Amino acid sequence: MGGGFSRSDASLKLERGSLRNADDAGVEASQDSDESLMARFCDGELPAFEKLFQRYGRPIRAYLTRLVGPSPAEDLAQATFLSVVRARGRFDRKARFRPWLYTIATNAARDYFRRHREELTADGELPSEASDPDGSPVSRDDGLERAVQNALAQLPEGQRLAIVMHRFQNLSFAEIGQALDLSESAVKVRAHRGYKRLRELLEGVWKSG
Amino acid sequence: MTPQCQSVLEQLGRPLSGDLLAHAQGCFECQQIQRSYELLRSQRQVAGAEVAPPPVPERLISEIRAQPKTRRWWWGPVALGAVYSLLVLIGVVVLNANESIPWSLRIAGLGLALASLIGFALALAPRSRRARIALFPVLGALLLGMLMAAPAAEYNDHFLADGISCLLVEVLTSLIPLALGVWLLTRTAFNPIRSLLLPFCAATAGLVVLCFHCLHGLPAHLLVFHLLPWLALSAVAWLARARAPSYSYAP
Repeated sequence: MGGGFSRSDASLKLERGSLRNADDAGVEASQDSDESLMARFCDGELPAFEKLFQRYGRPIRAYLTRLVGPSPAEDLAQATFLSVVRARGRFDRKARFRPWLYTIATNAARDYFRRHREELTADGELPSEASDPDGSPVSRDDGLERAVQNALAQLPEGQRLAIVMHRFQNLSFAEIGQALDLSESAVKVRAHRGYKRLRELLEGVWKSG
Repeated sequence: MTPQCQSVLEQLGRPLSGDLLAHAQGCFECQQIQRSYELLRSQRQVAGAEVAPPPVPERLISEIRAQPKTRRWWWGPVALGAVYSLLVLIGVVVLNANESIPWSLRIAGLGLALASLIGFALALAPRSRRARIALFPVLGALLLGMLMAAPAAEYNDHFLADGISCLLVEVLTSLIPLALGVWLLTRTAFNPIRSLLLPFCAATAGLVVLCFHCLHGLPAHLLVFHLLPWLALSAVAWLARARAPSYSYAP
């Protein structure tokens, strides 16, 4: 009886231990969420910012390279994180971090082109850069790469931003809506039109593929 | 775009099942979209080379060390509102509020001041685009009310002399709130609507003071010496913000 008790006691302890471990893992995961890292950074923790930078440094640089090209992208990526540091008091702790970060990066790209007006399109929109996001020589199908980049460049800014964020940065439509200050359905319409237009522009590539 | 097309769009890059797969196979638009998505994959593979995470640049670390704590966004509109209210109060007291001013004009002035204080918060808030846009017609209605409430007057020989004094009051009272407002706007990314709303509101400081002081109801006087300087000051402030560099690109 006693042995039975101690066995069940031991197994209970073990279960509790596993539960605690599971809880700890959950707590750790939630502590490592973007929002919790940002909250900790707002409270003055530098390591929390370092984690965010390591998580998003490269994706933001790649995103900006697609918008402005490789050489200004490096500076703009740094300006994006500098803005995170300087404007952390403007971050709404109930909001998602990733859309906020992409809003800042998009604003940085828009500002870059506003100051280099000759590079804006006739409609005053962001032009698209036909370059590899890593700035390295294109190693795969060069023709396809270029055709797709050119087709992307021909899309209106709203459609291009929706597609770049959705396809390359893996943002959900809801996150893109938050980043561009649009409703989710408006983003879906833009993405739908953009993908459709891309298909029309890539007619030849499709046929040859 | 049908609801099924929307579902296909949401599932791009993931395997489709059942009804959705059947729909995609029969829908020309969905096929176009899936094909475009696949073509973009080639781009992504080139871009997605994994490299070790970059170290935080020294510039960012020194910026954080220089400002270990940061202010919340609302301190800006509060400070601006305080400066604006103080200047309006000083203007009304120094110029001695005219006893003959009709109450309707005073109320219009107070309404304009209140709308401007709300405008500061909306212009500097991280979100609230719709409320920001909605404030423009409110400001327009209050300005119209101010013009309608001005006492009737006839043309006299002092048109220019009286006008210049109103112009000076308008400009001198509004300059500090405008300058502070432009500086606060540079703390965020340039946004044309914000950058228009805030100067419109800040430049009402002089208009509000004049609502308690000026008895000239002549439309030409009101347009040339009250409204035109308000518009000109707002336009100059908008241009100044558009040309000034942004301290941060945060929304």
